[in-house]
Amino acid sequence: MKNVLSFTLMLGLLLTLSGCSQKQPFPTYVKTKYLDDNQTVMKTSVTTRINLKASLSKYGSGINSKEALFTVANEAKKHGYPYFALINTNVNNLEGFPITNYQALWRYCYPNVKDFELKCQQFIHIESAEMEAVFFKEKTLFVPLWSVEEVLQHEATYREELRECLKQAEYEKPWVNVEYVRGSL
Amino acid sequence: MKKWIALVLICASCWAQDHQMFTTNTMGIEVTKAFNTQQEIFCGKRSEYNAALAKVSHAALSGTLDGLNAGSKAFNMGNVGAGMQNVGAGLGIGLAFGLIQFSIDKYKEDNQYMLVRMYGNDTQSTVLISLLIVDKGLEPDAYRVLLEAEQARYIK
Repeated sequence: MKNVLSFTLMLGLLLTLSGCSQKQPFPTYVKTKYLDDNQTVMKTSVTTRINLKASLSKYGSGINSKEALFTVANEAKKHGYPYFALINTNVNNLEGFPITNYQALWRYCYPNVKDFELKCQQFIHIESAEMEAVFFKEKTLFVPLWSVEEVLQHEATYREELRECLKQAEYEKPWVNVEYVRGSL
Repeated sequence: MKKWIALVLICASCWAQDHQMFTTNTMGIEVTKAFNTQQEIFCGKRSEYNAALAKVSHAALSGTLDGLNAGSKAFNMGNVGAGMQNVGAGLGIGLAFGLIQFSIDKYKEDNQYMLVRMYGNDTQSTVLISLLIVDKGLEPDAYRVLLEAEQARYIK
């Protein structure tokens, strides 16, 4: 009896220390920070903290960049701005960069064309993405702007896709997908 | 005959050039053939666009800049991070346009070309911005033809 009790206790201790009982981290970790006092210029950093299987690793960049875009759009909406411009290097709408939707951005960043370089390596990676944006009240003639409403239209679909991806990756809680930390980058 | 076909195919492969094209309509207003004003703001290498934009008259830009918000104030206050240097350059607000800086090797192969045209009528105007990316450099005539054809698709 004593042996059985000791064995059970030992097994419990082993399980505790092995990490099996530890809570899984949130799959994506989002940090945001405003670069101005008026909260119209922001920077967001998304880090994927899940270990996607090799077969799912292609989703990494997509998860990060989409999460970053949705974060920017939600922040703009929260502050009452219907438009925003991305101001990343090489992807700077203020310099006339004419891309204002995700599909085109992806096509630009990851051109499926021979000899074309990947152009967004400075801010979109498999493990993380960083985006800077400035909010606008209305459309402007010379600045291509992203519509907050249009961006957010795709958020629900993205969340569902992410959930499916996490389920395939055998993630324990696929519906819990974002941890936000504000004001610290 | 086979030789001719082979020759044609070889020539075609020599001329074939992979490219990407992106276009945006800044104001989202449908451009029609009834628009009576068309002003070419820029046609050239992407790396040179900022300088060209700075040359556009302040009056022409002021209407654009009315829509800008406190982000520009942040720049003026100098309360910005390094990333905001680009914002200031792009906006050109409140500061002399001379502050606009650009680097000729920013887009290193510089095989990116832009056509920026403003279209309008008596009541409204919009700007079509097209970006062409090619794997090899093009002569001005060649990229202009491609960019103009692209913008023509947006004129109803």
